[in-house]
Amino acid sequence: MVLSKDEMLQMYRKMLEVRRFEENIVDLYHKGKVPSSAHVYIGQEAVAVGVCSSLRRDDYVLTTHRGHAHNIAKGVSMRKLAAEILGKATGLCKGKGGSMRATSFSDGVIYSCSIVGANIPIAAGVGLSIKHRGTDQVVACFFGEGASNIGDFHEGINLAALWGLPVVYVCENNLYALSVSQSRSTLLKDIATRASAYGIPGVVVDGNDVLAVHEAAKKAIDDARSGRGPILIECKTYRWLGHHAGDPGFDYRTREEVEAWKKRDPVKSFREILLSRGASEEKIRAIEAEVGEAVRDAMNFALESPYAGPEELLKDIF
Amino acid sequence: MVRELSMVEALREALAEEMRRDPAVIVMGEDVAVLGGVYKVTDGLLKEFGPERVRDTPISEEGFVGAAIGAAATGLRPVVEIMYADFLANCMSQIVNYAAKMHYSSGGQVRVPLVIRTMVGHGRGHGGDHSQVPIAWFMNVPGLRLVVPATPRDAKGLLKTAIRGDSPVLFFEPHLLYRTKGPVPEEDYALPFGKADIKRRGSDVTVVAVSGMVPRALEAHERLRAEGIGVEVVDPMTLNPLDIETIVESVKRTNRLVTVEYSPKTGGIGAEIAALVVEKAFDYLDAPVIRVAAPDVPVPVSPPLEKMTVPSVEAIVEAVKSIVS
Amino acid sequence: MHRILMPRMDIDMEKGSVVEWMKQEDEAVAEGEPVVKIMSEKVTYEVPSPASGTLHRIIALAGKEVPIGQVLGILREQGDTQQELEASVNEALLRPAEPERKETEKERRLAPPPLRREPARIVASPVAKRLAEEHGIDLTGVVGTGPDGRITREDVLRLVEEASQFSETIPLTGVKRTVAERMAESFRVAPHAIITMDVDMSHAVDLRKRLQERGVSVSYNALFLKAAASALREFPLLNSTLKGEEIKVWKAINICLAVDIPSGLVAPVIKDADQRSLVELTRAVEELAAKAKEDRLTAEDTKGGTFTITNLGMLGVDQFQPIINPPQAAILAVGRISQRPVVEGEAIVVKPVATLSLAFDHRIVDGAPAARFLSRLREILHALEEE
Repeated sequence: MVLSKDEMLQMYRKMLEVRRFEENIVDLYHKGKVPSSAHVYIGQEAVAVGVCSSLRRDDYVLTTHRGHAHNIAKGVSMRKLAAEILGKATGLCKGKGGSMRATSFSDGVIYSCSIVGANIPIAAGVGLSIKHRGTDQVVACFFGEGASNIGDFHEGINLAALWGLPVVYVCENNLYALSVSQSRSTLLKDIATRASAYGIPGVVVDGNDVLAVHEAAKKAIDDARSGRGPILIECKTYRWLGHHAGDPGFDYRTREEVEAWKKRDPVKSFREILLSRGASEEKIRAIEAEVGEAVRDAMNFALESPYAGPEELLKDIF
Repeated sequence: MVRELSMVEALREALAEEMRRDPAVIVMGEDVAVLGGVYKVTDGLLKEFGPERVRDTPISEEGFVGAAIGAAATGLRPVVEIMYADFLANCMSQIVNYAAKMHYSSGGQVRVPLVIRTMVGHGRGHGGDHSQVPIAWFMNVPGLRLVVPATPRDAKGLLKTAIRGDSPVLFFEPHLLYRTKGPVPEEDYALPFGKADIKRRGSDVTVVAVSGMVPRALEAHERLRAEGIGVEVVDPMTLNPLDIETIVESVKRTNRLVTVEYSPKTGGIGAEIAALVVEKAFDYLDAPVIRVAAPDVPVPVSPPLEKMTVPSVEAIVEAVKSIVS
Repeated sequence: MHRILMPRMDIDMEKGSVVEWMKQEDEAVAEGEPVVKIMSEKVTYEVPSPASGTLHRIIALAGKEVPIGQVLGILREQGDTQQELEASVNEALLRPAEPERKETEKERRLAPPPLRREPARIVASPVAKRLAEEHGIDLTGVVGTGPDGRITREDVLRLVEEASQFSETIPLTGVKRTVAERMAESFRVAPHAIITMDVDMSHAVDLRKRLQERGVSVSYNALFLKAAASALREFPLLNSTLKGEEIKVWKAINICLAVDIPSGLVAPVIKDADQRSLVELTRAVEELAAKAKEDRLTAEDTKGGTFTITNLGMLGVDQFQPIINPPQAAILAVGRISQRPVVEGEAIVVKPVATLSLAFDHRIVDGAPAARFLSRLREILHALEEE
């Protein structure tokens, strides 16, 4: 499959949106505007964009506490997402879910589960619903390598596998679950090997190469859509910042390691690939300017929006 | 001639009728399909509705409850069976952190029309981790409907409402009453949540009994009536929503309250009802509120010891007498 | 911080009752300002505040009987700590004190407002309390049929039914109670004997008229006082008291005059009645009667009596049997002066006549001396003149 230049430029736009959005969120976090923790995706953009660019509008996504990127990649309004992160009434969830539960059901983002692994069985259920209703939708479920140790991972994937559900499980292996590295939480080198324990295929991909991710995801999504799911894709990647916006991340990682991964910046490298494939510098600059503008606009919208009134507290319980 | 069904039969009817009525209704759980459920509640459903709609699950409560949540969020109406209510602890996070909260935390975007049916209070030597009645655990979680039927008629009507509704429901079935027969209407009917049923009238003491304890409260009513003490037996039917108004109205007439449950007393169902009644009907109370409940112990296997953990009719009678001068 | 205590009005006083509080809780009070009205057996008294401050807590409510020296209320002053105040309230209410602990700044800021005062605790179920309030039933001192004496709804309903039989309830407190107790005691202890004489009051009537014409007003009570006082000088045994195994004759002749007042019956004392003129006696009686009716009698006014006169003539009573005012030996009851047919020589004439009844303690006085005394009294009345 070959991606058109426009498609690639669109992917670049999305990656940049994620990058700039997250940078701004970190900034707002340090200014005290974010009521909760913010877990940002800087450095991992290729994974969310690589997978979501292969999803249809009517496909579903289930993500995690580090889910801003998947929302953006799926096409959710950056304004409403930013407002939700700031806890405002104009946010996706009226400010009730916050950063860790950013959800836009109409865009297909069913939920962000902030307890790692919880979305894995839920995604299986979404797959069950798809199968039952007889549509050819697919659900992409994102989680970290740390989540692959929790019970929900095993129970959920087992069910999806057993029932042949149209789920693409994407493990974003950024090597650290908060402060605990992969090597200190499992003997496995590749999380994807766990797939065989459930009788499903497991694929390892360079998570910093958006095109590689896209290709692997496209295949998996197509397989799932044709009833050959589920599949587990493991994307090797890295987060530049700590676990959450306030965590420098150097208590458990070396600066050398971080610098080494930063040199493999997925956004920068994709920019170079675009140029090498004939995209114009002006076009790219224009996209960069537009993205900058759009993100600024989203942040201002969020900052200027009001909080929900007290009458909102008791709504939506049932 | 009104027909009599056991609670198991009534539940089975409810499930079959709702599955016929709405193709989105599916059933999942351990041993529910081929075996028809360890207590036979889902017997016959696989035959009528096929393996796509009646699924046996592997032993993975957190997994299949999570899956049910995902299915419910995207168009299905799953009815999950948790074989013993004790196992609710195995899927606590999905129930409490997800099913109960998704609607609220998404600002109303996500709906979870999920019913979790579970059997409580097995007893009969099944021991501490197969005999609990863990209803009070969930009273403290906003976002969950809690249903406690005590008769076949109530069970069928309430299960239908649970399935047809859009909220997550925990439906507690008392093992003690699975085989008890009772009248069940022929026609289609559903019973509303949040409407307590005054099963017997009396003017001296209000007894609020829950689930498996309702028949014992009714028996206590008979014995006390013979002694000239009038007991009003109120069955709340659902604990969320709780029809506290009916209970309060009753206490305003009788001036006395006894609650009956077969789960441990501390932090139990009676504690919440007592607090609400004291709050709303303080000036009508002529005696302290008495809670009849299981002692604070894990349920032992040995029969004479186990018997002591389930309130008897005598215990209810004594409790009533202790506050009637 | 000051404690407002039940004062001791006279040597005999052991307890008093609270009539009414003149200040409310949290109201400011100046030093010396009346803060609570109390009543002893004999007098009412407005207790002045011991210092300037705020009435912090009322410990003894109206109607409560309190022994002398016990706490009626707590007065709060500038600089009093919460702890200090609570400790004194607890002590006064005989509640166990809370363990000593340092209040943090935060606690002081967050401390809830002081609870409304807690009188002697009434143990009743909530519905019983509500019904009692609705029907205006006072549950103080009621012991119910519930566990530990708890008052139940049924108890209150019974009280309501009982109360419905009565149109009025008058508590037996203060003066009324004192009178009730003393009357019962007197009647029980002293064997009362009564002798009666009719007195021709023409001379007395004439004397009054003559004095009136001169512009001098003299009351009938003054005449009886004078006559009795003079007679007592000649018959000292009727001016005595039985103390244990001894009859002690009083030196002074202080005659009590029974006065009917709204709150019952008092008997202020006219001291040294034998040494006063009719005019002085009249004035003394007027003053004391006025004071009595206005509740202004002091302890001085009511102590030291040695004999008592009680007059129901103005209410139309001809004759009655009085009860001795303990620890005195005798009491004279005066009836109405009425025009009666009297035999004089062989003729029947109409004269103003009053019937006197003398009740005396037969342990102290026998019939003959009593009769002689009364006869002498009559004689004096027949010849009384103003000096």
